[in-house]
Amino acid sequence: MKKKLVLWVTAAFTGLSCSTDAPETSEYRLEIPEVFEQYLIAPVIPADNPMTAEGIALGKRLFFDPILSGNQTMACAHCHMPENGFSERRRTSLGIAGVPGHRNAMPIFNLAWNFSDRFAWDGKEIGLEEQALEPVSNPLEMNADWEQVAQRLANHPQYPALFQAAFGSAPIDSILVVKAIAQFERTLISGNSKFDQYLRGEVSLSAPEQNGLEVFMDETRGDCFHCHGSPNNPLWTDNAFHNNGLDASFSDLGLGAVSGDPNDNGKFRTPSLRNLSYTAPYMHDGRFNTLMEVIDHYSEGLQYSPTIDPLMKSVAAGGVHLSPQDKSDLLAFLRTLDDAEFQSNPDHRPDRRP
Amino acid sequence: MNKKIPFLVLWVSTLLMGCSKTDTPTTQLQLQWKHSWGTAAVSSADLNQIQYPTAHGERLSVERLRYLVSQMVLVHQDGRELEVETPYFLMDLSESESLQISLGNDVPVGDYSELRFVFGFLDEDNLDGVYPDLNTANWNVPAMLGGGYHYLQLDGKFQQSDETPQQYNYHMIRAADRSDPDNLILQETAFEVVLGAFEVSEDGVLSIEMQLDQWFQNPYTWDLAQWNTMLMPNFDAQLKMKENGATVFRWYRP
Ligand code: HEC
Ligand code: HEC
Repeated sequence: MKKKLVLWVTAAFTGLSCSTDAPETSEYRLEIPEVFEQYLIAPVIPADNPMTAEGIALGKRLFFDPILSGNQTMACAHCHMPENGFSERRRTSLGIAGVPGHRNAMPIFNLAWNFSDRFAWDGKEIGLEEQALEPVSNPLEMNADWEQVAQRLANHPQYPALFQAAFGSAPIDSILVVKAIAQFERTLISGNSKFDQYLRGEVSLSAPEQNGLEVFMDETRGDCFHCHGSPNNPLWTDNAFHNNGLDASFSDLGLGAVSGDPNDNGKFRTPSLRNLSYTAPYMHDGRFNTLMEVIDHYSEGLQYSPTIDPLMKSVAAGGVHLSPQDKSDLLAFLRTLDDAEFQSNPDHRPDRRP
Repeated sequence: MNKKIPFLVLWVSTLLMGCSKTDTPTTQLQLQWKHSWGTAAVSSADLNQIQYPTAHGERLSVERLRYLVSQMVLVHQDGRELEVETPYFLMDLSESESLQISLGNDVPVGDYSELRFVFGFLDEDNLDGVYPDLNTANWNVPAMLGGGYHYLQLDGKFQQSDETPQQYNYHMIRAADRSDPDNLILQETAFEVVLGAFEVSEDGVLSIEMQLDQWFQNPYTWDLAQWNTMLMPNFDAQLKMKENGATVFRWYRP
């Protein structure tokens, strides 16, 4: 991969030879949080899209720029807002035509650690680059024509130089746009919550937080860890697909509609439990406004369906019926996974334009 | 996990000691894991069907099956031992690539007297949080139960007759008695599996069968109505899993 990067940098140089002030591309190393470094395997960075400072800067600008949408009013960030863990407050997103979609916008962080490389609630998008193609042309989202977008970017006073700096002289097209955006998205890393600090030995947990962790880890109480990670898997998700018992029958088949296998009906990708305080509402359709509603769901609101995950135990009783104390402690623990530094990181906000 | 597996120190040193076997042909040896219930093959295509009869009289489905083996060793007819260099393997019924593992790139063809491995991790290897690939696979055991890793995760639903199915989570770990949370009592449940004589041929493929029905019988007839979920903190259930595990594996004979 290194070798490839060198070749590619040379190509970029050649492309730049006519322009005097454009910087050369510089390899960018992801800043991997200490606890990820310690517990997890290395993140996924596709060999054909190495990270560079220029690529990331371009991707960030594109992410916040409505130029990618049909009528130039909606950026990615419209539904993926930095202050909301790159999700949004609406239950389901309103597209450019004001028509609501049927899913809650997903937060965007730690996606380079989604090793299955399957994105969206139902896994229909393979790869982050591939994923970014979709919202731009989706009529319910940004409703644009990619060729038109590429044309706009090529005619823009600043973008051609930015593409040149990031990718050399190749003509601007959808592929370069999504490569840049994916590079930016890979830099959105959340690894400094209170719990991370606890894992690093810098802070201690309060008694309720400690008990909440035990509820989370206890197979006879919360048993959340089989799907949502643990102190040894600080992504706080398995990135796999499960039916967590929301409904007895499905209006949205989730993975089942993608795989065509009825055994997958009602399965959705497990979300990370980081940054929950910023990412309400919850679940693929945003049905729960508060975390207590989520906890109540797991505790006594489970609905049986043939594909419900076997880990959703005591379903006949609606769940394991956590005590009020365990519920509020579990909530206190979940809040230790909020990463305020990530939420307010200035590097994740749009640059001020000249 | 998919590290290249070069050849073994033990073996090589024996070769250097002057046996004349240096020109024995070798092969890239693959091991396939097959799964059955009685005479029926179990594959990822069958996930979710409540169909397999237990000795105790329930029927169950197999929705998720993952398991870990470690310390694989091939014993040649002449007594030499080949340790497989990859220290452990995690198999997942829903991921076909994980069901075909590489035992080595230069394994001499010929007759062997046994293949042995540990089901799960012996205590010496069952260290908390130290294997990044297993952490990433969410394979850990909570610290409150002594930490380390799962050995088996077999999940599904069962029914006595036609009532609403109930879930079961047959998860095997090192047994932990938590009656006094401050003084956990831990007991090793990982066990050695020894399979008898086999041949490594030029085509380099071996197949082992996990007989899933054996987890629920022989010697202990498993009553799912009594033991279905929350078995990780159940010390006695863990010991019974170990007992039943003894007859689970055999060479696959199509
Ligand atoms: C109109 C609102 C909206 C806009 C605009 C939008 N998204 Fe999304 N995004 C969503 C929704 C809703 C989902 C969940 C989609 C699903 O599961 O079907 C999503 C999912 C994603 C995911 C998947 C995250 C994961 O963990 O799988 C990524 C990445 C993403 N969007 C990036 C982008 C990018 C890049 C853009 C701009 C090119 C963009 N989005 C524009 C609403 C939006
Ligand atoms: C069987 C796997 C599984 C288990 C066990 C599990 N979850 Fe979930 N969780 C999921 C899946 C899948 C979703 C998304 C479901 C959907 O949107 O349809 C989810 C969603 C959530 C969400 C919403 C997050 C968001 O961003 O929308 C929270 C919070 C949550 N789970 C917390 C918990 C807690 C707390 C426990 C333990 C009491 C738990 N989960 C147990 C699989 C699981």
